[in-house]
Amino acid sequence: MIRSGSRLIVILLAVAVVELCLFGVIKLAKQRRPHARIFVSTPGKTVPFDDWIPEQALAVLEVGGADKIVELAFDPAFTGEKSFWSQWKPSALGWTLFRRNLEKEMGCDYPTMWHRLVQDGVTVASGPNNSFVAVAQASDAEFLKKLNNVLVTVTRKDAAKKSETNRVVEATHRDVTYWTISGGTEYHAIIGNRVVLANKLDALKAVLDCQADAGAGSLAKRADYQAAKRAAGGVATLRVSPELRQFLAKPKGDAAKEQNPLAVLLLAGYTEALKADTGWLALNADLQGQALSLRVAADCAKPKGTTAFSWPTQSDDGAWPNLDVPRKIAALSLYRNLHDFYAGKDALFPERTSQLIFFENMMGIWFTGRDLTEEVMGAVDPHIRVVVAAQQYDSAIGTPVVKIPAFAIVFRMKNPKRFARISEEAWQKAFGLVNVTRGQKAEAGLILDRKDHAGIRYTFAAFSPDDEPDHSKLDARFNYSPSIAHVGEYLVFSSTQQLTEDLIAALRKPAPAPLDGVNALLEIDGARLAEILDINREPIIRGNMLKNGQDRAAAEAGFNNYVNIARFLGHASLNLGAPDGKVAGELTFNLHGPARKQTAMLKP
Amino acid sequence: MTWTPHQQPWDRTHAAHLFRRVAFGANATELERALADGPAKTIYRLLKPAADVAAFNREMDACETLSLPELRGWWLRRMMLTPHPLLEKMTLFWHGWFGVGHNRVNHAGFMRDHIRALRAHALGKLDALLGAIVHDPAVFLAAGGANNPKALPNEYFARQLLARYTVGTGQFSPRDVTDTARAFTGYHVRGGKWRDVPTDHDAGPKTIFGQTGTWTPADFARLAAKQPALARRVVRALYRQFISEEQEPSNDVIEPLARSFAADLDIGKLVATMLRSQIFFASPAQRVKSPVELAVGICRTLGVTVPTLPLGAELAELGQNLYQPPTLKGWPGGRAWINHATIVGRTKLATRLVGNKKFPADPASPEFQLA
Repeated sequence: MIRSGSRLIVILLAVAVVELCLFGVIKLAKQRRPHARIFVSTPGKTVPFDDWIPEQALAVLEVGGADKIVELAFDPAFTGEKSFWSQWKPSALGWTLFRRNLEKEMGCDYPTMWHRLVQDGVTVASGPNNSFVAVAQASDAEFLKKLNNVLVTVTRKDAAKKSETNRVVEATHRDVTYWTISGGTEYHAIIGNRVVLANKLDALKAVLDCQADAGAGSLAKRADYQAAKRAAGGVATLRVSPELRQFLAKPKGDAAKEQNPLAVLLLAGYTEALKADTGWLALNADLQGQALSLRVAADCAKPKGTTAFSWPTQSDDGAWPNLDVPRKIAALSLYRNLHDFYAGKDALFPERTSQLIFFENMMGIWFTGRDLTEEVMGAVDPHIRVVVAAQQYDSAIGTPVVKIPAFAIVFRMKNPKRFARISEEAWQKAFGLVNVTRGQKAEAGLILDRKDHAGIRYTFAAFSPDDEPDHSKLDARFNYSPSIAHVGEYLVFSSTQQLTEDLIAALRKPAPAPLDGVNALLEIDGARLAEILDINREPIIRGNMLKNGQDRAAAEAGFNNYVNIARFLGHASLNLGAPDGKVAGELTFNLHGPARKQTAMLKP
Repeated sequence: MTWTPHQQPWDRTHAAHLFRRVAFGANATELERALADGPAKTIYRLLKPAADVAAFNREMDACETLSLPELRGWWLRRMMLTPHPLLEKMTLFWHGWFGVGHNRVNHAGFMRDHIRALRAHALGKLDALLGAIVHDPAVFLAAGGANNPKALPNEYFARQLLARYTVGTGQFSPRDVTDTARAFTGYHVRGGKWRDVPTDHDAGPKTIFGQTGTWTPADFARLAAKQPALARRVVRALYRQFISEEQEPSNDVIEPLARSFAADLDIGKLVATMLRSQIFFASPAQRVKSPVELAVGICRTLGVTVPTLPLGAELAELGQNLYQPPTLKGWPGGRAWINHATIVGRTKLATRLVGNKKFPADPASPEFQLA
């Protein structure tokens, strides 16, 4: 049984996906590209309606577990918050009377009515010419029949009273009776325990045709839809046509962002998968207990050429499992061949920006003019690991007002004996230069020193707190005591001594087996992330007041939402790679959060 | 036209003019109340609001960080929300007067303390304001006075104090410069800290503004504050601030007010006299609002608070970067606020503020393209 917090996340994710898809469809419609199609499904129990949905559908949303959405939609704890649901409050007296009358006739309250109506799933599809259809499977056919009778009867009486002769119309198509109770802006039909609703008669008829012809001309018969369905792992959830993929992959605004070397390093291969001209992109969401997983698969093989640096060359190679240190907030493990990345820089990011020139100049100084590609980037192997952890502040030094987590990057050196000395020299030059620069501005400098820890001698730089008037409110610079350590074949650059020492312990453990086919693994501990946000509560709230123009109450509410979402997300991990030769990604959440109030409707 | 109190009928136009000059602007409720209260009571309330201004400022002070963009954002927010807008207007006035900018100070803490000192004395006594200024590390750094050794008195800094901050060019002698420099010896800003080194101070007799004594920086402030030339400069600057940038006032207009100001050094009283005068109400539409006045004025008039962090950056683009006046002379003001680029920017800013649109402007938005 999932908890209410988890349900909120499920809904938010579903809404986000749907919004993204609908946004894409609208944009494409404006560009007169009617062939783009999107198929989305939310996690939970689903009934396959795809053989009722016409193949012309542009966007399809399959909602499994629709009863849970209804439950949430009428949950006072949810609707009491400032949300879409709470803002949609029909207040007209006529509506209230109609609703009460409906409840009386149906013998159940309004939320229960919705619950029974969509209990076994809903599929909503949009088609050409702004047409929409929805198919819902109710708990039982009798319920649907009774509901329809009530609605038609009440509307007929009202129409007769107002002399609106054409408001309620009943007709048949392919031996199925359909009605309109709005004079042509709505059409619906009931087939067994399913109800079909459409905003245009042609759309309704198209659904009825598919149903009558046993799915001929339906979405279910499309080969690409079925391929996407299989790749996504059972339930087809998202398929994007080439047109839409091109739209999604199109650079937005600042084209320079695409040439950012760091972005290229991190995203190489994935952007190519989005841009590929053929194939599909599929998404599958699944919820098992508290574990929500979203899997994306693309019909795109591992890229070759300049972006091949991010893909293992051997079949059993890949990114290593993440490092484990105390107080870990996040960790990232990458497979990136830096030598090949930098060797292909002219093709990957041809624009020589001032930042790139500065980087190369500084690297030239630090590494004494060595060849950056061969002697520096080529000196480390492709297994790179990054770790972020909360800090415990030394009482002898004090506590900064703004508490910034420690972070470190760990490389594996190909020739530790040689590159350890080169990297040590470069590090000391860099921080010596920092000291000179700070000295020129009459700012406090770093004291460079060495320390032995667990048999490893490492180098660090730290600010002295001696001249600080209040050690409980130190400047943000006291979050840093940058260090370099050489632990066997590993090279550690860390922002703090504490994390360096934790990593020395972690790196003493035997080398892990690589994750086959994975080239990036990101993990985030939501609870720790929430903790670190909470520690910096006041500066963040104040910052939000300035950034968003909010008053304190609104900024606090926004902050609390972020913290709660981080806690709800629990442990999140993103796994990217090409396990079966096709580019794929998997995002999983181990959801947990505070218990939410249950509605009366769901009580046994 | 004289400094005698305004006697004409009090109407919405006069009230709106008063609020624009003094309080960045007024919303409909404030105008209605001003009309009901009459000019005397309204001006009194603007000078001495009933609200707990000190508590408000303490709360805002607590929010300030040592990040310059955030300091800028908090000040703009303070201007939008303060119950004492005249105090912020005067703080802004003195910020321009001293022209202390972060680009020369390079210390956000000093800049924060500098503006706080200006706020503390903005409507107080001129000698107290100058007394704070001559011990303000930001002023020392901005005006080239970081080092004042006894062996080599810093005459450059002394000249800045005399020419920019007090009596003005042509109103001091070479002796004033050398002896002012000697008065400041032993006061340094080193390693990001204010240092008072008594052994490095020249304790000998000095003659400044014709008076001889063993003067220190505090004495310099006291002597300078009493100079009629400084009083005239302040009155002229405030005339530009509150009355007109277009008309250069004659000595006949300035002199009576300068004399009374030199006698009591009360900035608040000087401002009150100006606001109650016939001249003040006879000179509408003779100032160009600075970008800060424009933005804050719109927000106060509409009663909205916008994201001030991006707003601060946008105002900097329009020529008024808080905490960073272009030179020690401050912002030139007047028609210098308007050029081909800024007029477009001001229009866009005003449109967005009135429409309460998001900040910063999205370059892809139709309204941005249109502008």
